[in-house]
Amino acid sequence: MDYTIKDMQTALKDGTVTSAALVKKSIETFNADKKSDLPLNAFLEMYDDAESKAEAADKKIAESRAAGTLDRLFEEKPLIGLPFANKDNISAKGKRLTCASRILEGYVAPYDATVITRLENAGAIPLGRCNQDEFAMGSSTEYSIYGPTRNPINRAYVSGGSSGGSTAAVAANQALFGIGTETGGSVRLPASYCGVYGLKPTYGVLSRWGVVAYGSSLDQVGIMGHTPSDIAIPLAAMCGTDMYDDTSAELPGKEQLKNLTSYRCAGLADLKIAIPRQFLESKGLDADVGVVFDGTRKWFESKGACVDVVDIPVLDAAIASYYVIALSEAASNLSRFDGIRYGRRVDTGDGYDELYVHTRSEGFGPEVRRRIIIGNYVLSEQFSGDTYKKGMTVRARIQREMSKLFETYDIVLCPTCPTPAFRLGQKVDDPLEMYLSDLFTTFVNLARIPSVSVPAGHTGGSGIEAGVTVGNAFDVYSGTSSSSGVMPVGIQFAGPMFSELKILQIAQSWEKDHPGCGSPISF
Amino acid sequence: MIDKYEIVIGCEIHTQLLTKTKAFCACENRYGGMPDTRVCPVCLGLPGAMPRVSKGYVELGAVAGQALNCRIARFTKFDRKHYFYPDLAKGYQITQYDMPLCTNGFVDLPFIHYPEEERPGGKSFRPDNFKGENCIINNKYRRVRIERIHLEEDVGKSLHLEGKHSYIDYNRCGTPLVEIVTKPDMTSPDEAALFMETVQEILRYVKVTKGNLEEGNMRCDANINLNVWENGTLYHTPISEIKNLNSFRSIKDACAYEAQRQLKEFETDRQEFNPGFKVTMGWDEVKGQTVVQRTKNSFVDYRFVVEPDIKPFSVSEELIAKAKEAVGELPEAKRVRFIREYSLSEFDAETLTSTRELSLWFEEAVKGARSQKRVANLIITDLLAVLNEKQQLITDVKITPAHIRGLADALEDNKITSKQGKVVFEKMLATNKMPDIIIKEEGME
Repeated sequence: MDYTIKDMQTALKDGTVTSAALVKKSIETFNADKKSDLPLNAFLEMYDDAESKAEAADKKIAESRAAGTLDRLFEEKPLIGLPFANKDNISAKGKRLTCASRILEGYVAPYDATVITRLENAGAIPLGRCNQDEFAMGSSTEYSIYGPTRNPINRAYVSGGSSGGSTAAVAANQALFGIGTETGGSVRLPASYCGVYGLKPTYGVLSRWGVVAYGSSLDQVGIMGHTPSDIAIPLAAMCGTDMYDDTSAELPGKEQLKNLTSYRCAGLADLKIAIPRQFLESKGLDADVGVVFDGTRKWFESKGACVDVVDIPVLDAAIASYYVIALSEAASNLSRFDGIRYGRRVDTGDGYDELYVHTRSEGFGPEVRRRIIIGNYVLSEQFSGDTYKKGMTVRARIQREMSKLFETYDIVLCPTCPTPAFRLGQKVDDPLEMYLSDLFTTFVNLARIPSVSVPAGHTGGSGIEAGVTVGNAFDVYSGTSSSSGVMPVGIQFAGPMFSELKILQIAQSWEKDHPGCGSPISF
Repeated sequence: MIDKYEIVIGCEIHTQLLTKTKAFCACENRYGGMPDTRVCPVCLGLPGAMPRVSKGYVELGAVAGQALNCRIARFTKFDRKHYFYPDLAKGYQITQYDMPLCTNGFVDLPFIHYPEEERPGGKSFRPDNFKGENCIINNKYRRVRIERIHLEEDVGKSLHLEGKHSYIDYNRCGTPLVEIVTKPDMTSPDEAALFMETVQEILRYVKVTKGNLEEGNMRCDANINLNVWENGTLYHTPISEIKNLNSFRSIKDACAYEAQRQLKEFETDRQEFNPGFKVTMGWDEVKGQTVVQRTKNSFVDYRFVVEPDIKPFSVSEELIAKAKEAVGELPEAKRVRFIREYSLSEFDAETLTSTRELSLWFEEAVKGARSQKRVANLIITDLLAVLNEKQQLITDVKITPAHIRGLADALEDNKITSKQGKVVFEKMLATNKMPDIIIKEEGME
């Protein structure tokens, strides 16, 4: 029995496992880990009603079993009794929400995000809120007032960010699946670093109502799980237009996501795959990542797919365009945090100008302040000229080029990140270096297309060579650090807008040939 | 030595729309109530909240535009205007920056004739190049051009207690507004006040706004400066923006005061108009003076961006046509028609067209009546007197236009005396019975 949605559904149906037991195990693991020398720090808090919700789910399952309506129950509520990790920037009614920031000290969300409502409607149990980079601004979960989230595979390393907490929780089997948010790669990057699957859907497919905004035209809720199916089932439960989000959209193929099969069940011989030359020849590309990528490419070729290296020069400007747009939108979206209606207010009694200055200077961490200042600078035509316009122009060009590319090609294949997870503290004092972690992820957000990071392999270390993963390839490091440095590597499959079904099916084909590659630590 | 001068006024009117809910959320759009009770995550700017355009918001904006003769945009969007102030919940206001819903409209004001001696500023003249602007239509109306009308949300209300605390009430935050901006076409304080009054009447007629100045449904800012001729050379004084004038009286008085103040200031300081420089003022009603609030040097950087949470949208031809239909006959046109069709005096026409409902009621009553004048008199002298006393509107009245017609006909035919008419009228209001029936019952025949 694997810790996957499909297996847990079967176990719950059989009665071999109860929801209460699953939740209890998560809570016990969390409590034990908290006391260890190098705590994971993935979960910030376990919700106090998780256990009672689990017991209610068990009751419902038992009643259904007695009434002979078990199959129908699991049809209507496919995620019944299954615990998931929430991120600290997604609103859950009655629960604290801080975005890992001091400025939201004490804030309790008075309403549910739509994605939470829909997951609960499908029977899932919100387990707790997880750590992140402050206001989703970061690539390592080191910019958090709660301290960093460690990588469960090697606790001397970062888990990636900004959704490091929920990703590490999934990788460490503290939750069955998790949700996070992406603006420039914040779900795919930690998925790559922690060795699990991570999907960023098409912009608009998952409602942003209740999700704290960072870069509104880029933000999307993302899903992490151990298998492509573990991503597809929650996706099907959450996706679709929402009357509270004008930018939300329908996702075709929703029904088939509930029972994810491999791509076309046969080979991948009809696939045409594009590899951006700009990324392949990037100077920042780690050699071991290159090895894993080669392995992935060879696998596709062995299946009969046609793989081409394609020139997409505009991608060189992607990361700059991303930061210009995201930071401008961030400066705008974070204007509402002033401590007046909620959160932490610092009032020196010298009038409201001072109130704003003190509340925000003390409430925001250094990275957030950096980004707000840059964002405001970009938006001030006076100072930055037409920088914002230039960023938008590059974005429009990227969207056009990707559209054209997908007329010929089915997916874009490239590494999720230029490097594997790095050591804690390695890049935290060099913001630009940190920003470059997003080199290969941002074009996806700019183009609004979906992309899934697939746990494809591992780097080399003492005695081990870098290569493609088959099954659980990582030892469990229980609280100690090791110098062997064998870390996961993710490769992303990106498709045109609304192609979630297709890319997840292709991922499922990969999973079939590499079973358990998304479960780095045994349950 | 100043030869002559001319007053130049442009107005900005903010008016609250009569939608059911606030602009971008489902909170009820209503005045008053306990502070901070009509709020929700959206208008409070809670983390994760997103705006959604309320039903009827764009529609009412288009009606306002049609009523003021504007062109309605076929494609438009919302933008964010950023600044920090406690009553602005999100730290930005959702508004329209460079693609307003309506542009290029006009309002015709009944032209105020000043005998030459009384003309503000003395004998001013219009050089040829002024012919195109400030035009006078048919020698009867001053045309004030509307530059734009756009949609935006209102902010909360703050109450400052000197030396203690400030209190913020967010009930008003998110209320749907339109902002109407004119070109500087008004030439006197009277015209500015008349403009406000005219726009109020028009927008009330077409049910776009309640237009209640006391409740703050409608607020006016006046931008005023002078054209001064000295020794044949033309100078312009710096613009003053007088904010939040909330009565017709205060618009007139504030503009009049400011014009004189600018004249005196120019004589001593000789400061000239500068495109980036505008002085913001308030009007102190008690002292009868304008008071400087702040000087705006250069432009204020609002860091405008397109509102990313509301998709830019098309405005359909159907919506625009429906809006035009909703406008119908406007008050001034109706007055002109009433005077012509029903041989009414200007005063009577004005009274009977004071609201659309009343004008419709009158026209219904007058249909087929033997004497139109008598019907008009009955309504104005008798019916309205009762309504005013009871503080009711014509829509509250239980009797029908046919009742009044019946009574008017009876009087016209000399069936009853005017004294008896008064009795019938009272009984009619009390019992709702038709006048013939009352006349029979009372044995007045």
